[in-house]
Amino acid sequence: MEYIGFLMFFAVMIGIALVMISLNWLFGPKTPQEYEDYPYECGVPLYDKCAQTTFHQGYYLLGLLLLLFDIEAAFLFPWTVVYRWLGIFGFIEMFLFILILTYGLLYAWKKGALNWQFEREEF
Amino acid sequence: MQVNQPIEAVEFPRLDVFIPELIVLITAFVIFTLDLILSSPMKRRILPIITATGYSLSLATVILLNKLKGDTFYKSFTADHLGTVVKTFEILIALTVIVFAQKYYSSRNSFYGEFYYILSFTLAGAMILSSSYNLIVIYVALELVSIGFYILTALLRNSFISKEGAFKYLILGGLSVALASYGAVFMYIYAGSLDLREILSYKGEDQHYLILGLVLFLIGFAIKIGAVPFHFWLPDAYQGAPTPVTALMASVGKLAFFIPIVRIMPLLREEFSDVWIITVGIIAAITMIYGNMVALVQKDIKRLLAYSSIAHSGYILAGIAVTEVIGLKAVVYFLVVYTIMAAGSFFVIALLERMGNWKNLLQDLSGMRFNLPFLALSFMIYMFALLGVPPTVGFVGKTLVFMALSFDKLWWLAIVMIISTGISTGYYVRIVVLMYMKDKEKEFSLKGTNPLEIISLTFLTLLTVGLAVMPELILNLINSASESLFLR
Repeated sequence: MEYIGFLMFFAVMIGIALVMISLNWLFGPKTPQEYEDYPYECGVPLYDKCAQTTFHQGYYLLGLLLLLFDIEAAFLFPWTVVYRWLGIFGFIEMFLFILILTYGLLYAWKKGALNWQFEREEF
Repeated sequence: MQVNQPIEAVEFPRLDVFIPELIVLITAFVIFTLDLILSSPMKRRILPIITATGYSLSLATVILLNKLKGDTFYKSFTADHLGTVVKTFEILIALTVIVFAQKYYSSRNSFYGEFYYILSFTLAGAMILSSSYNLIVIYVALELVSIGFYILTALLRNSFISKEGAFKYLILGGLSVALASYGAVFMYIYAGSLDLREILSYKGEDQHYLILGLVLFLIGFAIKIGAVPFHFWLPDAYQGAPTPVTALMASVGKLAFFIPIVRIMPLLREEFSDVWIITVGIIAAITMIYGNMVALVQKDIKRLLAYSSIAHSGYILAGIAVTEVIGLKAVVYFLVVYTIMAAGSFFVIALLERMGNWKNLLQDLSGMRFNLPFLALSFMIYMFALLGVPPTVGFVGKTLVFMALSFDKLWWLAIVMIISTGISTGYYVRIVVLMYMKDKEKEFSLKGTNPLEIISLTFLTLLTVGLAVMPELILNLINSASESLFLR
């Protein structure tokens, strides 16, 4: 019986929540909106009306490119901390690393992954 | 200051033992640059030549520098005789892949400049994987090889099964890398070191971490080599991939994925050898029996050879189960010669697939000696080699493994091996019968073969017989490699 207070607290909590929601539902103004039921509500017409279908490939490309430069930054921070002791050797190593990453950017550029004006496709 | 301490140990790496890998990597970046700036007709002509030149240079340095031994990059890269033997064959097969790939892709109307540099990155990964004891370097090289294979499998225009195979390979390959790196974590917890030599010679109190780590590591690699409970991706990926890439996966891939396990085997201490024998032995037995049984009922030649490749993983694993010098020698010999047999047989299929009405079915082979006598002869030699008929390398390899197995604890595995070889007779001999004792059903003619293709195929066929008639050509190297591994 020592937890009875806790149970009562729980019941009152649920009661208040239910009352609040039902008051809102009873007296609140209702203005139906076109974009109300969209999975991601941002005020502009969405690319796709439900979340279950496929996304445009461009999103994945964008995500991959973001990842590429995120990783670069993650490796640059510890390098800057110890740069003073690494000297010219550390400089060359990081130069090679960034050069290889730049190759990734060049590849994406050349293959048209940076061209984000996607043509709208029919659904 | 605290930071100062590890940094004083910065040393300039010994680059001389890393030159072959460096050449392949530089080749890859050169091709990458050229692929971005050149026009398409130029690419078709120039990229294969540059790739082949780079690989030949790398092969030359591997052979010239074969005496070099030692660690570099803070002990994370080790040059030794085993690495030399393995790398020689990896580069050799990759060179022949370039030869066959050119016409194959143009017959499928699917040229990708990406093929050449992803091939180079894969080769570099395979070479690094074959000469490292460091768990992190093994992980990175494993990913390099695997990601290369996923992309190469999918690089075939207008082919659905190629994408399907690549996707299956991607999912199961991801699982395998996850398991292997999880195993690496437990090994690090056990010994506090990332070097496999230090981990396996460390005597800690709680050995459960080491056993758990080794088992997970082994399962991760078992997925990659297609050992039986984990083989589901292999037939689909092998069938779907462009055939020169299948040859690459069956030879260079298998070689590279086996080497870390081969390197662990001589380092195991006495008290582990019983556990190792039981675990690896049972996987090997199931793999051999299952691979050969399922290959019996295949209608598609590429799938049949894929299951035969699974069965051969079983034979090689059987050799790895023997934790003695003789087992190591047998395994290295079998691995190296299996790359020749597998690559050669897939190259024959790659040539056949260029013909218009070829459907890759077994019946298409009937009467091949009338239409294409040279291809029929070399395919027969590869089939006899895979079966293990005397004047071929398959016989010597199987004999060495059998001798290693018949010592004491593994006699049962030797019996399983004989039985499964007997089963495999069913499908290898059927192919030879179809080619040589049946009348032809359809008319096939192969147009426009590149002379280089004929030369490479002849070379591989001669190696298949030559390395069996004169095994001392590589057995001396393999002996010294195996004995130096066991000295540690």
